[in-house]
Amino acid sequence: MLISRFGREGQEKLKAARVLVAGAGGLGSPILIYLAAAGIGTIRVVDNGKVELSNLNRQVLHFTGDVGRQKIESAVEKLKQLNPEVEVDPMYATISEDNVTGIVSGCDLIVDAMDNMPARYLLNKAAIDARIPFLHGAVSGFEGRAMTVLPGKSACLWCIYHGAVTQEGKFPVIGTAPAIIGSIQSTEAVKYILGMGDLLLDRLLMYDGLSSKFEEYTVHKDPDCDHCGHLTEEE
Amino acid sequence: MSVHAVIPWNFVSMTNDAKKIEVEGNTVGECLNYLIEKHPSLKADLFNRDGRLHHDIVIYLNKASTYPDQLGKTVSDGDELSISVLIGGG
Repeated sequence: MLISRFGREGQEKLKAARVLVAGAGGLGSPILIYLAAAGIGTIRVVDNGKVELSNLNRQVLHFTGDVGRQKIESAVEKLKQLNPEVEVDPMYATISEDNVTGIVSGCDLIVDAMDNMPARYLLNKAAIDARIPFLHGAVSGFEGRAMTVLPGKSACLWCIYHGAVTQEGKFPVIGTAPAIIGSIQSTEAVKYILGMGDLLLDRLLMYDGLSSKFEEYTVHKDPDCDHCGHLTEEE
Repeated sequence: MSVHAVIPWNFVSMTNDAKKIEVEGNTVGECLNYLIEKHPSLKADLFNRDGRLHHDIVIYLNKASTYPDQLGKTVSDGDELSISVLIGGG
């Protein structure tokens, strides 16, 4: 890697990293592609879905011939073709209170590529309990959002939304929205692993594709937060 | 006093396609009430029956969260009040 201050040492850090990507759909596709291409050593991917034709406008890791296959099976195949050196650890599972600790176990950070808020909150809490970063991303229509959570140091997902959920069901999205947000989340992951740059801490980055604008919104760590309120920066 | 409310795309059908609307008031709550007077159909999407903001609505003042006292937050001339709706797709 020829980027300044990156070098062989940086590449070794990426190789030693174990990253959980929760979801192998719209956000998960670009995240998985860019993390594998960057040379992340171990990628655990969890998803409970099968590829559907209607996924293909945005879930670029899956092709027409994959329709009907488990997404994790399709993902492993593509990622190994992209970078055979990457260890891919697939989990066909629905994230729940019962299994989230096990899913997160052994990972250095969690990248949020979920399609629903309840699962995001489970991962947010699991990240706080494990004291590992949670890299949030979400999309809808032409919009997307991203923020990085360092437990005890910065606002978490619960600090912003306090448990709110969106309407259940499908979230129609233009394919480029998860491509943009997923790329930002991948960048955050690489920056964290390398210890470079400024992370999206206490900053909710909002992408508005219809206005072609990125805007940053300041959020605050809530001392009464149900998830992270008990943590201090020293912990 | 001039305060501008920024409307999310999924609500602009209720504001005659206006994305930015000048509102009046001394607090975020008063500004939202002014906005609803001009565009009444916004009310059900912003507030529940108890007059509290829906959980999936977050109000930012000059791009900073107004939590926890979202409606009581004081506004000043030139402020920008952004209405944000939680999105959850992936």
